[in-house]
Amino acid sequence: MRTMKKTPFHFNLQRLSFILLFLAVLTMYAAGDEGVHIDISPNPVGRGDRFGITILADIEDSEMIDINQPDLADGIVLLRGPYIRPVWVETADQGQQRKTEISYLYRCDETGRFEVGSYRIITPRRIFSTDPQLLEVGYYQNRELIIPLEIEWDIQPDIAYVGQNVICILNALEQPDIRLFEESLVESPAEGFFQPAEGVGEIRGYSRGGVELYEIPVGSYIFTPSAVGTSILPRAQVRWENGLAGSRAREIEVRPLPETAKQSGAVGSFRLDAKVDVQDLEVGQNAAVTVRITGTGNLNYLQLPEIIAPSFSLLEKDEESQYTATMQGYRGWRQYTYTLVAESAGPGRILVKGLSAFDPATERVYFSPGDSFPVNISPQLGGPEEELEGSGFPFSPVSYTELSRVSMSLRFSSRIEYLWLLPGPLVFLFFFFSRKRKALLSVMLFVFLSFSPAELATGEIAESLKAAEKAYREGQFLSAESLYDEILALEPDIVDLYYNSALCAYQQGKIGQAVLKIRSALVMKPMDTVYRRFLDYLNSEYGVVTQIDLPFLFHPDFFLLFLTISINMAGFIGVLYLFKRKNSYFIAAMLMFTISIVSGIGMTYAIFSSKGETAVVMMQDSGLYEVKKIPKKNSETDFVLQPGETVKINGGTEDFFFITTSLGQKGWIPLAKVRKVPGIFELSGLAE
Amino acid sequence: MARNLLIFPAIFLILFSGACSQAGTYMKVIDGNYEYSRGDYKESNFTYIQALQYNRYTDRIAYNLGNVYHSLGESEAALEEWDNASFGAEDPELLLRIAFNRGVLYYELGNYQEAYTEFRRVLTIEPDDIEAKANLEYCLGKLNLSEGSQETKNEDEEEGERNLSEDGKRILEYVRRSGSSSLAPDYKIEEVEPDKNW
Repeated sequence: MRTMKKTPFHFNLQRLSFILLFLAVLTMYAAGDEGVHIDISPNPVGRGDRFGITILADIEDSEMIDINQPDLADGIVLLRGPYIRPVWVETADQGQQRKTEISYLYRCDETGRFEVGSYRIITPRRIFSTDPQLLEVGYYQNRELIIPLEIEWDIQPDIAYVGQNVICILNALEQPDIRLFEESLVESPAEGFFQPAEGVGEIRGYSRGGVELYEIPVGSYIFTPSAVGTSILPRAQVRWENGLAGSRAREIEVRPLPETAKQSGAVGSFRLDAKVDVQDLEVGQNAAVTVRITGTGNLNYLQLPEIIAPSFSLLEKDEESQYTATMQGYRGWRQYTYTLVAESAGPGRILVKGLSAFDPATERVYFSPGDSFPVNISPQLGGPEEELEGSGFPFSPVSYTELSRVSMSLRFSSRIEYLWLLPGPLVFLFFFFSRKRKALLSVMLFVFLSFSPAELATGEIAESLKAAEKAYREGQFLSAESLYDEILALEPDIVDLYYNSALCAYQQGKIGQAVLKIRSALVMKPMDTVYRRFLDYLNSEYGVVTQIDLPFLFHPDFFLLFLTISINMAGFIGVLYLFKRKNSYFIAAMLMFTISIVSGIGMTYAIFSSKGETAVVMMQDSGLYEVKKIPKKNSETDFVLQPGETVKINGGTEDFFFITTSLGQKGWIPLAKVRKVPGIFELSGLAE
Repeated sequence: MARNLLIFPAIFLILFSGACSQAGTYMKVIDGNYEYSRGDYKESNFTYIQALQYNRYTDRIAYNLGNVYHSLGESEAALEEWDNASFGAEDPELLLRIAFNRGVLYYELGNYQEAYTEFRRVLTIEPDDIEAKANLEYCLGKLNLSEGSQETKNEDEEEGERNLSEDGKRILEYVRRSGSSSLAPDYKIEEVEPDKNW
């Protein structure tokens, strides 16, 4: 890399002479106040009245001059001029000097204070410039000339986002003195929150036409828009000694927040802090959780992140805040203090969700991670140990006795199951070719006897299941989950075990694991309403979208059952038709055959609609899951996802998946951050 | 006769499999270009990556990927892909496009020296490229501006700058002589355009 080296600056005589010459020329051209005098008369002037500008310059030869006029305000109209004439002016030593007088006649049609810029008078030998002047134009009231008060809204920014703090300052413009205005009449915009903001805005002094003027804030407000579109800041009025002065209404364009920041509505620069006052407590004791947001932005409007505490019930929630208005919005902090009561014994966890906020300066959404606090709740001394079901959590694991009812639900993946499709068609073919009516009874008897009930799950795993149930009841969710997972490795076709394991994961705050497991269960039993309700519960409790690309409502086995029944019925009714020759038998047989074809198509669709193209983000408890713009490790982060969020996998590279979220956002996420929900083929492979 | 019966299907199969791969690449690239033209850069990026799996025209696809990365604001990745595309490439049209886009990117990054070199490379391949000539003039303008601050640099750098400046002046003269004098003075440096995708 090339670096710049500083070398000493060398002065020499030639350079010094050049600089002096340059300064001399500059001084000659810049000299505006010597040798020329300008006068505006009358000043102040009434609106629509004429006024003159007279310039007297030390120029003897008035015919060799050229004049450049300044650009004047729109309301000033030149009526006549320039009128150039030589004049004799008395000097201090009683002598007379020949000078040149240049005069203009103007009219001004608007009131206010205007700057009249420099007139440049160019002669062959010298250029003269006049000093800028301030022209005051007023109106007559009771024969008195009044310069009206001008007030104006200063809005920062005038293009805002929903929820953003917009600073609105009502300024009195171009005031010759610093003064106070006692009364202002300001109406709120139709939508949003409009609050006074004391201390915002400052008196600004500036020079116009050689006169010191001031911009004085009359009132300051913070507007927090709540709807997308154009918000109108109504016309404001200020009372002063000469009546009421009004401003114009202003429009503020309000844009929607990015989807990921809509839930919190936070716009600004914030930091999230959380703390819990105890770690070990007994059932019935209180724990205080404090969630505080500190920073600058719409502290008045944003929604603080929720807390999730499955082993507790909420006693009360207090809000405190301390923030002041600044030019960037509200600065300070706002906090909730939750008082929780421990309800169930065992290890628990209090989860404070993260905050997604929008930074208008960078126009990006950033994520302030939440926190997770482990707590140990011991049983109440002297009291009976409470049951977990009383904690308010509406789901409980499927018990061992109910598990025994669960049948194998991957029949479609077993080749032996397809043998059940043969009896009906084989019987039909047998009689179609042999036509032996006497054999009918024996064949039917053979077919009936060949049906035998499928073997259900035996009691080999009973002990482990009992132990898992016991661990769950005692609040030992980690060991319960391990036991359920061990049983699943041996008996992957007992679907409720996925559900039980998902409940254990949820109780430990492992939302990603819970979503992954319950979705695996849904792949195998898509019609189960309890599984779907649990997924809905996760969705509503955590605010993460878990419902993307749910499995097809009907399981392939559902269609396989219909196919087996209808194809066999078609065969047997066909046999009856062979011997009775009734049209109704023929129609019934054809109907059954059609149903079997439809069922076959349905089964194929159900199998292929679940190809494992969905994934659940991350397996850890909490953290930041960045989705990149391109599949490179050092590329920019485009957006972030929350734990447990489900995404659709469109494809990928060696290190990244290309995903689409439920909101339609696309990006690249590292393979290690997500786990694919297994498809029905993978699950059936496990079952085999 | 029986042997012929076996040979013809075999030849057909080989040709057909090759054609499938070629058609697959074409389809993916067309898809990617369409998505790029709609501004759906992420989808376009994914489609080009899929097209790379056919192992055909990898240099052109890498060039397109570079364009997508540039549009997504990933300058480093764009340069990497254009490097991949130009590695071993002999097609002058492809090399010209790569050099042109590199020049634009370097200019945007404020690296006028590199941008100058790239536009010069374009003119070596296609001396009549008016856009490249115009952009080269802009680079030279920027480099000449920085020439004014040479007093603060060391002697080696001064010599380099002077050489570059002389060289640049020659090229500028060449550009003017070759008929680009009709360029408007406010001619802006050309962006990488979608239709410059392969």
